[in-house]
Amino acid sequence: MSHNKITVAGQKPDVNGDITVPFVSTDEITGTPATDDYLKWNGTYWEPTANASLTTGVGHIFIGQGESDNYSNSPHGTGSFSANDQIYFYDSSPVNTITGATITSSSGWISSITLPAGDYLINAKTLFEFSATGYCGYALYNGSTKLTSYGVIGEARVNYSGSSDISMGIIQLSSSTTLTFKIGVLSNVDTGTAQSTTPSKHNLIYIEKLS
Amino acid sequence: MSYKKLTVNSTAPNSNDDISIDSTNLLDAGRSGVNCVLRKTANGWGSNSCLKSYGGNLNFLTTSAVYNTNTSYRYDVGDNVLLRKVSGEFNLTDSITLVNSSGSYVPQVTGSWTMAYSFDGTFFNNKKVLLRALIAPTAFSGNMSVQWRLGNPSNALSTTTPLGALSYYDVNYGSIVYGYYTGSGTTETLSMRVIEKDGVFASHTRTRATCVSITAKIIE
Repeated sequence: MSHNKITVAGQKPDVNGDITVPFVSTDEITGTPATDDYLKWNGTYWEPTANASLTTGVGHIFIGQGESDNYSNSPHGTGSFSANDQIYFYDSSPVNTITGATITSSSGWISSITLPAGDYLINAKTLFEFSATGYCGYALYNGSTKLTSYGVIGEARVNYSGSSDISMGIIQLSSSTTLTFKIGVLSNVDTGTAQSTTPSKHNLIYIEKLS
Repeated sequence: MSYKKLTVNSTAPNSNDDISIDSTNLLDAGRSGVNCVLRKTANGWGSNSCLKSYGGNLNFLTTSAVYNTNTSYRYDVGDNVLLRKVSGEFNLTDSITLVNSSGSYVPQVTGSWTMAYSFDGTFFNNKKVLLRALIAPTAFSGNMSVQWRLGNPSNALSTTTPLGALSYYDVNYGSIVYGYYTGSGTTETLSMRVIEKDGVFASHTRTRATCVSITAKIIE
């Protein structure tokens, strides 16, 4: 072995004996980076990637596009409402970019969301028809455990005055958990048939993974 | 110098006299994940994560505690908004300290309720924080508006600075109070204060606490 034979990362010395080694070898890059591109590791190579296409968050779920479908088509059916009844949300093509999260639905009506361990910011709302002046408070639940504030709708909120229609909060899950939205308190919420398309047009769930 | 002593980044020549160096040898944090980009780290370059990953820092969730709120203590303009804390209602307080209700700008002086939130200067330095709150006060009549403010809650409203828009409350409806805070590097105190009022309002009751929510999360 002699000095002249030595190479570093396949690079030979120049006439001055200097070996220039790039920070990232061209052998490790697939494609040709353009100005302002980033290098993203794809598992085999560094891949030139435009800024706009980079993943900039850790995932989110967005449900609710203002679509119309009768609430009686949901698993709730045509009947009346009671406390602890599950609430169904309509979206024919919900967005889910949270790795490991699943949305359970049937014919567009979403019944539950399963989230992997982590911290999440929760926002949800809906709207119901009332048979008389009344109110309805709903929240996210793990089984019977309430995890977020009540979002409240209705024109006579009585002891729940000063509330918003948004149910929100930060939740911390130590393991994969299946969550549902339920009615906590209510007065004069009309039947599933009478709800018509109001809930499907107004329902919204936005979940942002924090860590 | 001898041939055998020649190394680059602790890598010796192989049988072909090549010292094999690739980006893995140059990255102090390795390239652990698919879809991660090169990022400057404290000691060099790494690609351990390209994802923003911030947890929450503050959350209020009502408990099953039984209590009564003395609603004879009413809010005045300039008061700090009170929220109960004594039963563990704040289930998340990461780098944030709850400040007991005290002084002249509260409807009631009590260590069971908080009037403000002290943000750790080191932790929040240069970080952008989104504040959201739904305070569900006991509304007897009229309306009032509240706002996130930066400054000593024991001092007059005029000594504090706004962190967001006013939010409106009346005998039915409540609006989410949004605030935007940038950490300065020193520990600072934030609170929600009554800016306008035309009516009668008191702190939240146990029932209304089921509608109360406060979150603070770093967004940048």
